[in-house]
Amino acid sequence: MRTTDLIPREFWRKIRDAGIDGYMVIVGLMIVITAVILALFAEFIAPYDPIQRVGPPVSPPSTQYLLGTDSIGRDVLSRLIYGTRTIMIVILISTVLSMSVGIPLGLISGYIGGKLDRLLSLIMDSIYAFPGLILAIAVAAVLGPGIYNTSISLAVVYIPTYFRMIRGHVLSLRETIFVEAARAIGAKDRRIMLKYILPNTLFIITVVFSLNVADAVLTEAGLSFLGLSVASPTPDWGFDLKNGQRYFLSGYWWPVTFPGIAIFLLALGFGLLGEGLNTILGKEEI
Amino acid sequence: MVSIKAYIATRALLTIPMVLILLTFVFVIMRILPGNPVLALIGMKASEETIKSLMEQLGLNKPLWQQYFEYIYNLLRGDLGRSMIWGRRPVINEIMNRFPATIELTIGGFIVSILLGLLTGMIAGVKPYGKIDATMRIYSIFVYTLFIPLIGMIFQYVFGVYLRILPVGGRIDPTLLPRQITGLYTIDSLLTLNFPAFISAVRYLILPSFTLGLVLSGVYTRLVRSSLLEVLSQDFIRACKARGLPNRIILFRHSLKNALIPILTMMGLQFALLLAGAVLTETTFSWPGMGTFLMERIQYRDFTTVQGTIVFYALFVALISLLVDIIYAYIDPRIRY
Amino acid sequence: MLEIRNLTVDYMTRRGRIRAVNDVSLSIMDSEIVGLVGESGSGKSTLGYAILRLVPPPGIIKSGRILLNGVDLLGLSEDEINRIRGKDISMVLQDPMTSLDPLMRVGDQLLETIVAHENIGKEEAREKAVKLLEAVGIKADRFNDYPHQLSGGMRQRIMIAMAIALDPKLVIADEPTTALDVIVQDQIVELFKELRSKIGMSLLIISHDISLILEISDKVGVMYGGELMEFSPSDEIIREPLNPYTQELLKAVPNIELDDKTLKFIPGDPPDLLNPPMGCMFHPRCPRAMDICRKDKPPTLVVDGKHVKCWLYSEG
Repeated sequence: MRTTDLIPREFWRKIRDAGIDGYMVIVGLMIVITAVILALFAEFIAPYDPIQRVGPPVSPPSTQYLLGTDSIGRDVLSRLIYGTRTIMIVILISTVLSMSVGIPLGLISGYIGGKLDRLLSLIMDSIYAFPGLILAIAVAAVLGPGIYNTSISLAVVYIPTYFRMIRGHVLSLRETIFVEAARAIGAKDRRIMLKYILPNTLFIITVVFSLNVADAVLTEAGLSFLGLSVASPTPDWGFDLKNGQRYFLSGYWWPVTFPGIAIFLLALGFGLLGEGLNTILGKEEI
Repeated sequence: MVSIKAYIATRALLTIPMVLILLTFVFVIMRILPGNPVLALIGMKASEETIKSLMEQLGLNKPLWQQYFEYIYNLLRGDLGRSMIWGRRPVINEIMNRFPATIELTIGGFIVSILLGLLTGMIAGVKPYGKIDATMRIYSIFVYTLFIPLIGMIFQYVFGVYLRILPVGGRIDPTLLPRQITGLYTIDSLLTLNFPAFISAVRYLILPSFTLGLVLSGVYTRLVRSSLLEVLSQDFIRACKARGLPNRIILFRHSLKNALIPILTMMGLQFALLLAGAVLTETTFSWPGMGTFLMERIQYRDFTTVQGTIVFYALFVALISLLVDIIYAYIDPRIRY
Repeated sequence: MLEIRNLTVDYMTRRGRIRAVNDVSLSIMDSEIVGLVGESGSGKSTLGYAILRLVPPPGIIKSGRILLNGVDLLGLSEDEINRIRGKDISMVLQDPMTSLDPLMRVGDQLLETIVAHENIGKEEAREKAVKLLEAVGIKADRFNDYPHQLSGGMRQRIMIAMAIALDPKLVIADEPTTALDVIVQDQIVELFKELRSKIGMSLLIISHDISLILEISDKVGVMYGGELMEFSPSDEIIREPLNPYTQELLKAVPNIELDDKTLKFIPGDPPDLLNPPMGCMFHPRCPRAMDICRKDKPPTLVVDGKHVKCWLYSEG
């Protein structure tokens, strides 16, 4: 059973024996955990207030401003740390949203089948085929800026991904012996779905979650780079990168490079985690 | 045996529900989502009267179902509406001015990504499970998680500012603009035998295409690798070896061709990725395509044009996925005959 | 013509070494049909692939020699062996449904094989290809068909056409009829016989089906657990099988003349090659096993041109 695979000891043994995939999981976890810590304790870690002017504009990295200051003299490092919080909150809310729509629909659609399944699949496949970022742009443009609105825009994009994965998994689980057995002893559909099928999809949810979040990080950063995410002056990596663009080609590289690397690292962290887990836990369903 | 015409007809019919769903979806986003689109797009400060007259003008005061049918009806006539600014030009005309630039960029990005992806995927697939394979796997994750604007700017700095060998933005040297035929400057300049324009267009295209292509190549690395592994384990490859065919022929003529078939079937989804990536690439490189157009109009709060552009994207994606399936039918003899 | 001496092939799997072919020696004369029979896992297919040096990984040819008219194939460079594959020694694989490139016209696949080995013009090669198709009973208008348009039997004929395209000295056929239905099986067997008498190539035919092997072959090798248990002329095998394993195999053949349709199996399981039995491979299932069979490997004895690997005959 999949769920028992997630018992820590067994899990760590697997990671240790997994070679490159093990390293990928470990590096990925380290990046993600660092981001969580930065997001949670931004107040204690950041040296300056992220939205106040604290020094001369575009001063290069120095001992005073470790990563330099931006075009209006705000501390790049502090904005970076607080920006972690912004992106992590958006990712968290959007993931919870898309999971809470995509997973139940996928469960029901896969389990019940028939016309409902065909209709839902057609809808989800159509949305899935639409370019994610452009979809998010459309929703964000209508809803306007803000953390919640950005989260909704992202959530809309990733509902079909969760739906498709869960549905596919349920379809294969539906025919397994223990679901048959549950049905044979007269368990109700609702009970079978929640008690037998859902726990067995936890593993695939973990993998899809990691890979999806990697993508969501880039989509959020993209929205924010296009000026459609949280409103200024909230620290937000993509937006800060956009602000630095004008000065970048004149050689002021730090206001762009550091948020850019942060976006890359966070996406990479989730990507490595998802990839590694996917191979270690033995499924090729991305 | 089903004829290829029947196959294409069936496939085209299947596109209709997809298009309808996407159109409905766009409608839901633009008209039903909380947050009055007019308010979001015109801004909160507008007077009540302005809002009211605009709502009327856009037909937003009618019942939703009526709005919906009018929307679909207009689309069926090929009418994407008119812009709310600058002389109320038809949205479709404005889109057509910007569309070729996006096509040119996506084709450029596609070529780069498939070439890089084929190369890395083949290297990984020919010697699987070793160090090289692992390196290629890391490559595919690595490039996929690169942020397009960052990579674009680094390219701009290195090749445009530091080495001064390539332009950092725009589509072509404005003094060399070729006569418009297709709107794709590389093609138009060749058709008119305007070689300086061609060289200029290619030079402007290189950095954006590489940015977009590099980031999306990781997807192909994985696809090519797994598809190639699958093919290489098949009997007919063994039979080719037993016939003493040269390795080069086995790899390129037999393995790769067969490996590309499943990749082709996924090309529709890949194209959606390219279009999304193109929005960021265009913004980074001031590339005058659909992406920058969309962002411009969102800033101007040109509600009808934004809706029309999103609809256009939806239709385009549906068309591409249909086209991919048709190409697939022509390439794979198991469908053709 | 072809001589295999003390050939040993190992598969280095994660769970351990599997000796798929163990110290096998046999020879094939000019225009001779040699059959190789054994259960699945007996190493007969591996032996076939080893001749062309195409043992799939993680298999490696551990030791031995494979002499084609005196030249050791195992000592050739990759380029040199590639010139022999398909030209001097060719192969027909088991499943014709999967042995052809599905995206290429069958005629082109045949052409490609000819062009890879012979320096002739396109027209000439094409003429030759059409003649070959006719030789295996395929009409020339099938030249431009794709594999999925042909039946299994026709595809196997194409495979055979490719195998004989360059007048090989030896054709290796690995279960060439197993994937086909019964009537087509007979046609393919007839085709092989006909081609042998017309072209005069040697044929190494590998099958689990001893009645097929006995029907077509001049000589028969019986393999068990990677070892060659017996290697003798077919009529000798029919008249007086020496090795108890061969005897059991023959008993398991349903005898149509006696109207005996009950299938008989040899009791017991094939050997676990990760932990092979001590002594003779067959002793755990052998009805005539003696003490020595459990301890030491029997030597191969040669009596009147018959090779047998069994302790029963070592005294006499």
